[in-house]
Amino acid sequence: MSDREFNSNDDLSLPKATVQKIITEILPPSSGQTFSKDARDLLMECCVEFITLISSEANDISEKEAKKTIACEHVERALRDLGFGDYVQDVLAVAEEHKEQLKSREKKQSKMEQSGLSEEELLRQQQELFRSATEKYHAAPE
Amino acid sequence: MLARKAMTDQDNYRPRSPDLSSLQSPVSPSVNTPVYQFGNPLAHRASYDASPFFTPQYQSPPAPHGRVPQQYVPPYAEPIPFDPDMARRSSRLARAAEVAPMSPMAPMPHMTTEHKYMEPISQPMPQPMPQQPMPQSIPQPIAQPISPPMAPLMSHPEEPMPPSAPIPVEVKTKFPVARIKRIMQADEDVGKVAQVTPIAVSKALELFMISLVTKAAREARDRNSKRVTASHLKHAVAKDEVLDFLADIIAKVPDQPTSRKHDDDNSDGNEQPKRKRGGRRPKDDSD
Repeated sequence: MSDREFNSNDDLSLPKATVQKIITEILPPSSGQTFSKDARDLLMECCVEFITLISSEANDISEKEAKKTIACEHVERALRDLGFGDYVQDVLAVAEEHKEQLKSREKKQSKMEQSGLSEEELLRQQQELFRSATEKYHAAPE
Repeated sequence: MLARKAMTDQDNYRPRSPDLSSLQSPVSPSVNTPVYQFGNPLAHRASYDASPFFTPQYQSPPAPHGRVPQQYVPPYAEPIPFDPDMARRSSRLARAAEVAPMSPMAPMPHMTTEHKYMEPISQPMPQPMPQQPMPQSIPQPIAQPISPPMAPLMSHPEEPMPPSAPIPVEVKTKFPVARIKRIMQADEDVGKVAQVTPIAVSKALELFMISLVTKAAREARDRNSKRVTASHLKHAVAKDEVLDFLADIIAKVPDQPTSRKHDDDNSDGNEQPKRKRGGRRPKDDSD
Protein backbone atom coordinates (compact mmCIF):
# COMPACT_ATOMS: atom_id res chain seq x y z
CA MET A 1 0.00 0.00 0.00
CA SER A 2 1.29 3.41 -0.82
CA ASP A 3 -0.33 4.66 2.37
CA ARG A 4 2.62 3.44 4.28
CA GLU A 5 5.02 5.56 2.37
CA PHE A 6 3.50 8.81 3.53
CA ASN A 7 4.13 8.11 7.12
CA SER A 8 5.21 11.59 8.00
CA ASN A 9 3.64 13.22 10.99
CA ASP A 10 1.84 15.78 8.94
CA ASP A 11 -0.12 13.25 7.01
CA LEU A 12 -1.30 11.51 10.11
CA SER A 13 -3.01 14.50 11.53
CA LEU A 14 -6.16 16.17 10.39
CA PRO A 15 -6.08 19.10 8.02
CA LYS A 16 -5.84 22.25 10.08
CA ALA A 17 -8.10 24.29 7.86
CA THR A 18 -10.88 21.75 8.05
CA VAL A 19 -10.62 21.51 11.80
CA GLN A 20 -10.66 25.27 12.11
CA LYS A 21 -13.69 25.47 9.88
CA ILE A 22 -15.58 22.99 11.97
CA ILE A 23 -14.62 24.81 15.15
CA THR A 24 -15.95 28.01 13.67
CA GLU A 25 -19.17 26.24 12.80
CA ILE A 26 -19.54 25.04 16.36
CA LEU A 27 -18.47 28.33 17.91
CA PRO A 28 -19.60 30.97 15.44
CA PRO A 29 -18.33 34.52 15.91
CA SER A 30 -21.75 35.45 17.21
CA SER A 31 -21.22 33.16 20.17
CA GLY A 32 -18.62 35.62 21.40
CA GLN A 33 -16.16 32.85 22.06
CA THR A 34 -13.03 32.10 20.17
CA PHE A 35 -10.92 29.02 20.07
CA SER A 36 -7.23 29.60 20.55
CA LYS A 37 -4.60 28.04 18.37
CA ASP A 38 -3.09 25.92 21.09
CA ALA A 39 -6.53 24.61 21.92
CA ARG A 40 -7.06 23.75 18.30
CA ASP A 41 -3.77 21.90 18.12
CA LEU A 42 -4.65 19.99 21.24
CA LEU A 43 -8.06 19.24 19.84
CA MET A 44 -6.49 17.84 16.70
CA GLU A 45 -4.30 15.56 18.75
CA CYS A 46 -7.30 14.37 20.68
CA CYS A 47 -9.14 13.70 17.45
CA VAL A 48 -6.34 11.61 16.04
CA GLU A 49 -6.19 9.70 19.29
CA PHE A 50 -9.92 9.15 19.08
CA ILE A 51 -9.62 7.70 15.59
CA THR A 52 -6.81 5.45 16.70
CA LEU A 53 -8.77 4.30 19.71
CA ILE A 54 -11.92 3.55 17.76
CA SER A 55 -10.16 1.77 14.96
CA SER A 56 -8.03 -0.38 17.19
CA GLU A 57 -11.05 -1.34 19.26
CA ALA A 58 -13.03 -2.05 16.11
CA ASN A 59 -10.09 -4.04 14.84
CA ASP A 60 -10.05 -6.20 17.97
CA ILE A 61 -13.76 -6.80 17.64
CA SER A 62 -13.48 -7.80 14.02
CA GLU A 63 -10.59 -10.11 14.80
CA LYS A 64 -12.61 -11.82 17.48
CA GLU A 65 -15.22 -12.51 14.86
CA ALA A 66 -12.52 -13.81 12.57
CA LYS A 67 -13.29 -11.10 10.06
CA LYS A 68 -10.55 -9.66 7.96
CA THR A 69 -12.22 -6.37 7.19
CA ILE A 70 -13.40 -3.83 9.69
CA ALA A 71 -17.04 -3.23 8.93
CA CYS A 72 -19.46 -0.64 10.13
CA GLU A 73 -20.89 -2.96 12.81
CA HIS A 74 -17.48 -3.24 14.37
CA VAL A 75 -17.18 0.50 14.59
CA GLU A 76 -20.64 0.60 16.08
CA ARG A 77 -19.72 -1.96 18.74
CA ALA A 78 -16.47 -0.17 19.45
CA LEU A 79 -18.29 3.10 19.98
CA ARG A 80 -20.71 1.45 22.37
CA ASP A 81 -17.99 -0.35 24.28
CA LEU A 82 -15.92 2.78 24.69
CA GLY A 83 -18.74 4.89 25.99
CA PHE A 84 -19.70 6.69 22.83
CA GLY A 85 -23.01 4.97 22.38
CA ASP A 86 -24.66 8.31 21.78
CA TYR A 87 -22.92 8.57 18.47
CA VAL A 88 -24.15 5.27 17.13
CA GLN A 89 -27.48 6.47 15.85
CA ASP A 90 -26.03 9.25 13.74
CA VAL A 91 -23.11 7.19 12.59
CA LEU A 92 -25.40 4.45 11.36
CA ALA A 93 -27.58 7.01 9.63
CA VAL A 94 -24.60 8.35 7.73
CA ALA A 95 -23.45 4.87 6.82
CA GLU A 96 -26.94 4.02 5.62
CA GLU A 97 -27.05 7.17 3.56
CA HIS A 98 -23.79 6.23 1.96
CA LYS A 99 -25.06 2.77 1.14
CA GLU A 100 -28.15 4.27 -0.43
CA GLN A 101 -25.99 6.52 -2.52
CA LEU A 102 -23.98 3.58 -3.74
CA LYS A 103 -27.14 1.70 -4.59
CA SER A 104 -28.65 4.50 -6.60
CA ARG A 105 -25.38 4.95 -8.40
CA GLU A 106 -25.42 1.32 -9.40
CA LYS A 107 -28.99 1.55 -10.54
CA LYS A 108 -28.21 4.38 -12.86
CA GLN A 109 -25.67 2.21 -14.60
CA SER A 110 -28.02 -0.56 -15.57
CA LYS A 111 -30.81 0.90 -17.57
CA MET A 112 -32.25 -2.53 -18.16
CA GLU A 113 -32.95 -3.09 -14.49
CA GLN A 114 -34.35 0.37 -14.12
CA SER A 115 -37.03 -0.27 -16.75
CA GLY A 116 -38.58 -2.81 -14.42
CA LEU A 117 -39.34 -5.20 -17.25
CA SER A 118 -38.28 -8.78 -17.59
CA GLU A 119 -35.78 -9.79 -20.21
CA GLU A 120 -38.41 -11.55 -22.33
CA GLU A 121 -40.56 -8.47 -22.26
CA LEU A 122 -37.68 -6.32 -23.38
CA LEU A 123 -36.80 -8.76 -26.15
CA ARG A 124 -40.37 -8.75 -27.34
CA GLN A 125 -40.39 -4.97 -27.44
CA GLN A 126 -37.21 -5.01 -29.43
CA GLN A 127 -38.65 -7.41 -31.98
CA GLU A 128 -41.71 -5.19 -32.19
CA LEU A 129 -39.55 -2.20 -32.96
CA PHE A 130 -37.64 -4.14 -35.62
CA ARG A 131 -40.84 -5.20 -37.28
CA SER A 132 -42.35 -1.74 -37.34
CA ALA A 133 -39.12 -0.36 -38.74
CA THR A 134 -39.11 -2.97 -41.51
CA GLU A 135 -42.71 -2.20 -42.35
CA LYS A 136 -41.98 1.48 -42.51
CA TYR A 137 -39.03 0.82 -44.75
CA HIS A 138 -41.05 -1.28 -47.18
CA ALA A 139 -43.99 1.06 -47.14
CA ALA A 140 -41.89 4.05 -48.04
CA PRO A 141 -42.11 5.02 -51.73
CA GLU A 142 -38.99 4.55 -53.75
CA MET B 1 8.76 50.76 -44.50
CA LEU B 2 11.59 48.42 -44.75
CA ALA B 3 9.61 45.56 -43.39
CA ARG B 4 6.80 46.18 -45.77
CA LYS B 5 9.12 46.23 -48.69
CA ALA B 6 10.67 43.00 -47.60
CA MET B 7 7.26 41.44 -47.30
CA THR B 8 6.16 42.41 -50.76
CA ASP B 9 9.38 41.09 -52.06
CA GLN B 10 8.72 37.84 -50.37
CA ASP B 11 5.19 37.66 -51.64
CA ASN B 12 6.44 37.88 -55.13
CA TYR B 13 8.10 34.57 -55.27
CA ARG B 14 6.90 32.44 -52.43
CA PRO B 15 4.17 32.18 -49.83
CA ARG B 16 4.62 33.70 -46.47
CA SER B 17 4.97 30.56 -44.51
CA PRO B 18 7.59 28.65 -46.39
CA ASP B 19 8.04 25.94 -43.83
CA LEU B 20 4.55 24.62 -44.06
CA SER B 21 4.30 24.61 -47.78
CA SER B 22 7.56 22.85 -48.20
CA LEU B 23 6.43 20.22 -45.77
CA GLN B 24 2.98 19.62 -47.11
CA SER B 25 2.95 20.14 -50.80
CA PRO B 26 4.95 17.07 -51.80
CA VAL B 27 2.30 14.85 -50.30
CA SER B 28 -1.21 14.94 -51.60
CA PRO B 29 -2.64 18.23 -50.36
CA SER B 30 -5.90 16.75 -49.07
CA VAL B 31 -4.19 14.77 -46.35
CA ASN B 32 -2.92 17.07 -43.72
CA THR B 33 -1.94 14.44 -41.25
CA PRO B 34 1.33 12.63 -41.38
CA VAL B 35 1.13 9.38 -43.24
CA TYR B 36 2.90 6.49 -41.70
CA GLN B 37 3.90 3.41 -43.55
CA PHE B 38 3.10 0.00 -42.28
CA GLY B 39 5.90 -1.17 -40.12
CA ASN B 40 6.69 2.31 -39.11
CA PRO B 41 6.88 2.35 -35.34
CA LEU B 42 4.63 5.36 -35.42
CA ALA B 43 2.04 3.80 -37.67
CA HIS B 44 -0.44 3.43 -34.89
CA ARG B 45 -0.29 7.13 -34.35
CA ALA B 46 -1.84 7.95 -37.65
CA SER B 47 -5.32 7.11 -36.56
CA TYR B 48 -4.90 9.07 -33.37
CA ASP B 49 -3.68 12.11 -35.19
CA ALA B 50 -6.47 11.95 -37.69
CA SER B 51 -9.10 11.55 -35.06
CA PRO B 52 -10.93 14.76 -34.29
CA PHE B 53 -11.19 13.69 -30.68
CA PHE B 54 -7.53 13.44 -30.08
CA THR B 55 -5.91 16.69 -29.29
CA PRO B 56 -2.68 16.12 -27.55
CA GLN B 57 -2.68 18.45 -24.63
CA TYR B 58 0.18 18.78 -22.36
CA GLN B 59 -1.12 20.03 -19.09
CA SER B 60 1.29 21.77 -16.90
CA PRO B 61 1.69 19.85 -13.69
CA PRO B 62 -0.74 21.05 -11.04
CA ALA B 63 0.57 23.69 -8.79
CA PRO B 64 1.57 22.45 -5.39
CA HIS B 65 -1.43 22.78 -3.20
CA GLY B 66 -3.32 21.22 -0.38
CA ARG B 67 -0.94 22.13 2.33
CA VAL B 68 -2.00 24.96 4.50
CA PRO B 69 0.89 27.29 4.67
CA GLN B 70 2.53 26.57 7.94
CA GLN B 71 3.24 29.82 9.53
CA TYR B 72 5.60 30.18 12.31
CA VAL B 73 3.67 30.29 15.53
CA PRO B 74 5.41 32.11 18.30
CA PRO B 75 5.76 29.90 21.34
CA TYR B 76 3.91 32.29 23.58
CA ALA B 77 0.18 32.63 23.37
CA GLU B 78 -0.98 35.77 21.65
CA PRO B 79 -4.21 37.62 22.16
CA ILE B 80 -5.16 37.10 18.54
CA PRO B 81 -8.02 34.59 18.49
CA PHE B 82 -7.11 32.83 15.33
CA ASP B 83 -5.61 33.29 11.96
CA PRO B 84 -7.79 35.98 10.42
CA ASP B 85 -7.15 34.84 6.92
CA MET B 86 -8.19 31.30 7.62
CA ALA B 87 -11.22 32.41 9.51
CA ARG B 88 -12.33 34.76 6.81
CA ARG B 89 -11.93 32.12 4.19
CA SER B 90 -13.76 29.52 6.16
CA SER B 91 -16.58 31.83 7.04
CA ARG B 92 -17.02 32.74 3.44
CA LEU B 93 -17.15 29.10 2.50
CA ALA B 94 -19.51 28.36 5.29
CA ARG B 95 -21.80 31.10 4.21
CA ALA B 96 -21.74 29.90 0.64
CA ALA B 97 -22.62 26.44 1.82
CA GLU B 98 -25.33 27.84 3.97
CA VAL B 99 -27.09 29.79 1.29
CA ALA B 100 -27.49 26.75 -0.85
CA PRO B 101 -29.40 24.42 1.46
CA MET B 102 -31.42 27.09 3.17
CA SER B 103 -33.24 28.64 0.24
CA PRO B 104 -34.88 25.49 -1.16
CA MET B 105 -35.89 24.51 2.32
CA ALA B 106 -39.44 23.51 1.52
CA PRO B 107 -39.08 21.07 -1.37
CA MET B 108 -36.80 18.64 0.36
CA PRO B 109 -38.92 15.88 1.77
CA HIS B 110 -36.29 13.18 1.57
CA MET B 111 -33.98 14.62 4.13
CA THR B 112 -32.57 12.07 6.48
CA THR B 113 -31.59 12.16 10.08
CA GLU B 114 -28.43 14.05 9.47
CA HIS B 115 -30.34 16.97 8.11
CA LYS B 116 -32.74 17.24 10.91
CA TYR B 117 -29.99 19.08 12.71
CA MET B 118 -30.39 21.91 10.31
CA GLU B 119 -32.45 23.92 12.69
CA PRO B 120 -32.23 27.65 12.41
CA ILE B 121 -30.99 27.76 15.96
CA SER B 122 -27.59 26.41 15.25
CA GLN B 123 -26.83 28.59 12.30
CA PRO B 124 -23.27 29.71 12.43
CA MET B 125 -23.97 33.18 11.02
CA PRO B 126 -20.49 33.68 9.76
CA GLN B 127 -19.24 37.18 9.33
CA PRO B 128 -16.46 38.39 7.13
CA MET B 129 -14.57 39.88 10.03
CA PRO B 130 -14.46 37.50 12.94
CA GLN B 131 -12.09 39.73 14.86
CA GLN B 132 -14.93 41.95 15.92
CA PRO B 133 -17.62 40.02 17.72
CA MET B 134 -20.60 42.14 16.59
CA PRO B 135 -23.13 39.87 18.26
CA GLN B 136 -26.47 39.55 16.52
CA SER B 137 -25.94 42.44 14.18
CA ILE B 138 -27.31 40.67 11.16
CA PRO B 139 -31.04 41.05 10.85
CA GLN B 140 -31.86 37.47 10.19
CA PRO B 141 -34.99 35.54 11.09
CA ILE B 142 -33.37 33.41 13.72
CA ALA B 143 -35.60 31.80 16.21
CA GLN B 144 -33.34 32.01 19.19
CA PRO B 145 -30.08 33.76 19.86
CA ILE B 146 -27.13 31.49 19.95
CA SER B 147 -24.96 33.33 22.38
CA PRO B 148 -24.39 30.58 24.93
CA PRO B 149 -23.30 27.40 23.24
CA MET B 150 -25.14 25.39 25.81
CA ALA B 151 -28.47 26.93 25.00
CA PRO B 152 -29.35 24.70 22.05
CA LEU B 153 -29.07 21.71 24.31
CA MET B 154 -31.79 22.99 26.55
CA SER B 155 -34.08 24.70 24.12
CA HIS B 156 -34.57 21.92 21.68
CA PRO B 157 -37.83 20.24 22.45
CA GLU B 158 -38.45 18.57 19.11
CA GLU B 159 -35.09 16.87 19.07
CA PRO B 160 -35.32 13.35 20.47
CA MET B 161 -31.84 13.36 21.85
CA PRO B 162 -30.60 11.15 24.64
CA PRO B 163 -29.65 13.24 27.65
CA SER B 164 -25.91 13.06 27.23
CA ALA B 165 -25.97 13.29 23.47
CA PRO B 166 -23.79 15.75 21.66
CA ILE B 167 -25.22 19.15 21.14
CA PRO B 168 -27.23 19.45 17.97
CA VAL B 169 -24.84 21.49 15.95
CA GLU B 170 -24.94 21.13 12.25
CA VAL B 171 -21.47 20.78 10.88
CA LYS B 172 -21.35 21.03 7.15
CA THR B 173 -17.66 20.64 6.76
CA LYS B 174 -16.66 17.04 6.31
CA PHE B 175 -13.37 15.42 6.99
CA PRO B 176 -11.44 13.98 4.09
CA VAL B 177 -12.34 10.32 4.18
CA ALA B 178 -9.05 9.22 2.69
CA ARG B 179 -7.17 10.93 5.45
CA ILE B 180 -9.33 9.30 8.08
CA LYS B 181 -8.66 5.95 6.54
CA ARG B 182 -4.94 6.61 6.51
CA ILE B 183 -4.98 7.58 10.16
CA MET B 184 -6.92 4.43 10.96
CA GLN B 185 -4.46 2.29 9.09
CA ALA B 186 -1.46 3.99 10.62
CA ASP B 187 -1.96 1.45 13.36
CA GLU B 188 -0.16 -1.56 12.04
CA ASP B 189 -2.64 -3.98 13.53
CA VAL B 190 -5.47 -2.47 11.60
CA GLY B 191 -5.87 -4.34 8.40
CA LYS B 192 -8.49 -3.96 5.75
CA VAL B 193 -11.29 -1.53 6.22
CA ALA B 194 -14.67 -1.60 4.55
CA GLN B 195 -15.61 1.26 2.31
CA VAL B 196 -18.20 2.71 4.68
CA THR B 197 -16.03 2.39 7.74
CA PRO B 198 -14.00 5.57 7.36
CA ILE B 199 -17.20 7.41 6.63
CA ALA B 200 -18.75 6.10 9.81
CA VAL B 201 -15.61 6.94 11.75
CA SER B 202 -15.49 10.44 10.39
CA LYS B 203 -19.06 11.01 11.47
CA ALA B 204 -18.18 9.74 14.92
CA LEU B 205 -15.17 12.03 14.90
CA GLU B 206 -17.34 14.96 13.99
CA LEU B 207 -19.61 14.27 16.95
CA PHE B 208 -16.61 13.78 19.16
CA MET B 209 -15.19 17.09 18.08
CA ILE B 210 -18.46 18.89 18.66
CA SER B 211 -18.61 17.49 22.14
CA LEU B 212 -15.02 18.45 22.94
CA VAL B 213 -15.32 21.95 21.57
CA THR B 214 -18.59 22.54 23.36
CA LYS B 215 -17.26 21.23 26.63
CA ALA B 216 -14.14 23.34 26.36
CA ALA B 217 -16.22 26.39 25.52
CA ARG B 218 -18.39 25.77 28.55
CA GLU B 219 -15.29 25.48 30.68
CA ALA B 220 -14.02 28.78 29.32
CA ARG B 221 -17.36 30.43 29.97
CA ASP B 222 -17.39 29.19 33.53
CA ARG B 223 -14.07 30.92 34.00
CA ASN B 224 -15.29 34.10 32.35
CA SER B 225 -12.99 33.71 29.43
CA LYS B 226 -14.03 34.52 25.92
CA ARG B 227 -11.10 32.69 24.57
CA VAL B 228 -11.05 28.93 24.76
CA THR B 229 -7.54 27.81 25.52
CA ALA B 230 -5.81 24.48 25.63
CA SER B 231 -6.07 24.46 29.37
CA HIS B 232 -9.85 24.83 29.20
CA LEU B 233 -9.93 21.89 26.88
CA LYS B 234 -7.71 20.01 29.26
CA HIS B 235 -10.01 20.60 32.19
CA ALA B 236 -13.03 19.62 30.14
CA VAL B 237 -11.34 16.39 29.15
CA ALA B 238 -10.20 15.64 32.68
CA LYS B 239 -13.75 15.88 33.98
CA ASP B 240 -15.08 13.17 31.70
CA GLU B 241 -14.02 9.65 32.42
CA VAL B 242 -15.01 8.51 28.96
CA LEU B 243 -12.18 10.70 27.77
CA ASP B 244 -9.58 8.96 29.90
CA PHE B 245 -7.81 7.80 26.81
CA LEU B 246 -6.73 11.38 26.24
CA ALA B 247 -4.95 11.54 29.58
CA ASP B 248 -1.50 11.27 28.07
CA ILE B 249 -2.18 14.00 25.60
CA ILE B 250 -3.61 16.48 28.05
CA ALA B 251 -0.96 15.71 30.63
CA LYS B 252 1.54 17.88 28.86
CA VAL B 253 -0.67 20.94 28.82
CA PRO B 254 0.20 23.32 31.63
CA ASP B 255 -2.55 24.39 33.95
CA GLN B 256 -2.22 28.15 33.70
CA PRO B 257 -4.71 29.53 31.24
CA THR B 258 -2.41 31.51 28.97
CA SER B 259 1.02 30.13 29.40
CA ARG B 260 3.34 28.98 26.75
CA LYS B 261 3.56 25.37 25.86
CA HIS B 262 6.68 23.37 26.49
CA ASP B 263 6.35 20.27 24.52
CA ASP B 264 9.90 19.85 23.37
CA ASP B 265 10.54 17.18 25.94
CA ASN B 266 7.75 14.79 25.07
CA SER B 267 8.17 13.85 21.49
CA ASP B 268 7.09 10.32 22.19
CA GLY B 269 5.69 9.33 18.88
CA ASN B 270 2.46 11.21 19.08
CA GLU B 271 1.18 12.30 15.74
CA GLN B 272 0.97 16.01 16.02
CA PRO B 273 2.10 18.67 13.63
CA LYS B 274 3.09 21.18 16.24
CA ARG B 275 6.50 19.74 16.80
CA LYS B 276 7.57 22.76 14.83
CA ARG B 277 6.81 24.98 17.74
CA GLY B 278 9.78 23.77 19.68
CA GLY B 279 12.39 25.84 17.97
CA ARG B 280 12.64 28.42 15.33
CA ARG B 281 13.53 27.11 12.00
CA PRO B 282 15.67 29.35 9.85
CA LYS B 283 13.13 29.22 7.05
CA ASP B 284 10.37 30.79 9.08
CA ASP B 285 12.36 33.68 10.44
CA SER B 286 10.95 36.22 8.10
CA ASP B 287 7.88 37.16 10.07
